[in-house]
Amino acid sequence: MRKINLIRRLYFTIAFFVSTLLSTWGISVASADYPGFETEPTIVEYDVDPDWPQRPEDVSGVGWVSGLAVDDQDQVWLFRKGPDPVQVYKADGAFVRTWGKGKFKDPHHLRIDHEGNVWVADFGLHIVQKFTPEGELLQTLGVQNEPGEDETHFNMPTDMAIAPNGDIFVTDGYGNRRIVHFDKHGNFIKAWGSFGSEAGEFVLPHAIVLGENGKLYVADRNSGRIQIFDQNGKFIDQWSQIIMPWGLSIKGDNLWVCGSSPHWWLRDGNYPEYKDQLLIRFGTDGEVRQLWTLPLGDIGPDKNHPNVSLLKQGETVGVHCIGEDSKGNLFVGDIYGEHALKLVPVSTPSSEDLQQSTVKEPL
Amino acid sequence: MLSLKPYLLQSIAASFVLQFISDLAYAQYPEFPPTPLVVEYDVDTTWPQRPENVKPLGAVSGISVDQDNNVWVFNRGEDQVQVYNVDGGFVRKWEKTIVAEPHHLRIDPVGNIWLTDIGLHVVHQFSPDGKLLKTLGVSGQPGEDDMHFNAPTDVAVSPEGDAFISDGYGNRRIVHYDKDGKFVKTWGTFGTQPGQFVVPHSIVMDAQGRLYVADRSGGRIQIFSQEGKFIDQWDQVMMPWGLTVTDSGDVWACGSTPYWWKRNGEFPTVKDQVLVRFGSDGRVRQIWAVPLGKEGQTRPGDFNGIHCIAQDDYGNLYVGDVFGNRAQKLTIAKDVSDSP
Repeated sequence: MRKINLIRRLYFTIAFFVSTLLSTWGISVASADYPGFETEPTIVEYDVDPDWPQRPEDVSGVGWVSGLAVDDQDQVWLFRKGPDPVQVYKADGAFVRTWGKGKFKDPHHLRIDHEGNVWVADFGLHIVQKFTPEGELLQTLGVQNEPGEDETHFNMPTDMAIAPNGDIFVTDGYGNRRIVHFDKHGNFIKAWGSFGSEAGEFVLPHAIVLGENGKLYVADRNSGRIQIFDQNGKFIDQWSQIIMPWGLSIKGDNLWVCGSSPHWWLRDGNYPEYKDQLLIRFGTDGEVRQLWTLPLGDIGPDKNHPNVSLLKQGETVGVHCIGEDSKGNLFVGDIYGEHALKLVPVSTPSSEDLQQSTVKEPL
Repeated sequence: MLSLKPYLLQSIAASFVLQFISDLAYAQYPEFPPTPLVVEYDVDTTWPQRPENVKPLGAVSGISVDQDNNVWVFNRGEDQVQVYNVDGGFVRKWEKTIVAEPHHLRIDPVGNIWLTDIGLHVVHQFSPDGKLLKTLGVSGQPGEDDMHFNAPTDVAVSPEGDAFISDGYGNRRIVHYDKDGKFVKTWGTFGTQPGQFVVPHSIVMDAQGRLYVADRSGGRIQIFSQEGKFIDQWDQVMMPWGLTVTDSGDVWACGSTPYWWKRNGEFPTVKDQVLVRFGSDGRVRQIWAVPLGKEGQTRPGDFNGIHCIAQDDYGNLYVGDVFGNRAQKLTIAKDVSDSP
């Protein structure tokens, strides 16, 4: 990068000399009349907060961060495949609590319901569980360690959406290819979906959220689309070719999606899994409102044995989950990079940025 | 060794059981779609086939596909205009033209070629064989009035022959001329409000006659009527460097994902290299990211500074690279390799 900057500086310098030459010939170059950059930006940049989270020394920082949710007090809940699975931090980074040691096998997504209870999906145990915020188990769906595809069994469930009335919609999952609907007591209501890439089918239902509009948004990750259903399971729409959606977060009429730009899940015999690291804010009707990229980090040749010490600040490798607090800060969980990041929106240029400069545009 | 054997057998047995369980879990369904929904693009490394007597491409700033699916490449090398067919075969070249610093190239509805010159502040219309037909602006004279531009970047020509010029790096406006080269009107000033521009870098017109202006450094595409009325803007999606309209009315934009052109006193380099296809309603229909090349390296398939884009009748994309000094063809990958 530094080299590129140098080359560009050189380019600017040459351009500057050329323009000086031209002006000595009596031709004025008026490019400097206006700045070549936004003085009142329409673009929102995001800076990584290097001080978030402030993890106490006796809490483990090891393990994939596969689940993340922000509760109504702007507390950020992390669910990770490590010694301390559930970790809670305030938006300013202060540690709140941890629980769940030894209770989980393969943590996946985490959600907070309308009563403030915490839901987690464990694809290794084939169950979805509801806990109090303090970690007391309230409810279990599925049968632990028993994979299956019926009214009481899941096969590696990935995520769950909880309706205001307490109904539960589970994405099931890595093993099955369906959505399963339960009432608040855990009684099976219905299931829909099968393997495929037609409307209403799934290649891999990886995450699910429920909008205030009552619509369910399902991240069908490996086929690179988001499918929208009503709560009766009726297919409404799909958005494809934009992102491989790994994680979803919905707030009002904004749907944040994290993942990679589109690619084939299997190409030339390989499973590339990701090309880059993308965050996209959709409107709930499907328009892309914002796109932000995080730099893809390097963790060595084997992502299952990552060398996370190679990661530079702000880099991610496998953005898996995303959440937004009431102030517009974004939080992302990274599996292969084994960390969570806070991204702070920046919309006002610094005085340094507003100074007119003599450098010329790249043309 | 002997004492290890039972453990060995045990672990082999265990691995079979584990394999069986994981087969149960995973192998029920494939992890990839039976029919891919995603369109992948491959780079055709055999395109273009430049003959020895044609000079290597310099910075490729302009690219367009004509009615015969020939690809016109406008570059800052010695042979400024080079034309190749879809297979990469050489069609023709223009040697160094009267253009000092090439920018975008467009082909108008009757097949004439328009070249923009940011160095001499003019826009020229040529016949396909390189005969100068018309010049807008005054060569070597920058200005901001009815007959002068300041580093104009691109031109969109209507079926009636009206020309809309994005002007440019110096000024911040769109200038409208009729088919006889008579000034009609101009609009736009510096800024980020609707109808203002930070750097109007490219302009195209769709079949409905709407104008799309790539306000590159403002990170948005603005849509106007030919009367200059602001209709809409698509922002926060990308920094659009080049635009092209497809036959189906979609707009391909090439560039980088959004960032501030100036940040903390620095001018960051492009973040990445993306192609985004918008519907005419502004909906994003497709995103394709290509790898950002390392400075000084021109690996096939990498892009160092995407500047311009065009699409042929077969859906192939042609992308000009202003830092990598090349043009590349992207073909739609067949879905055969996505089967087991």
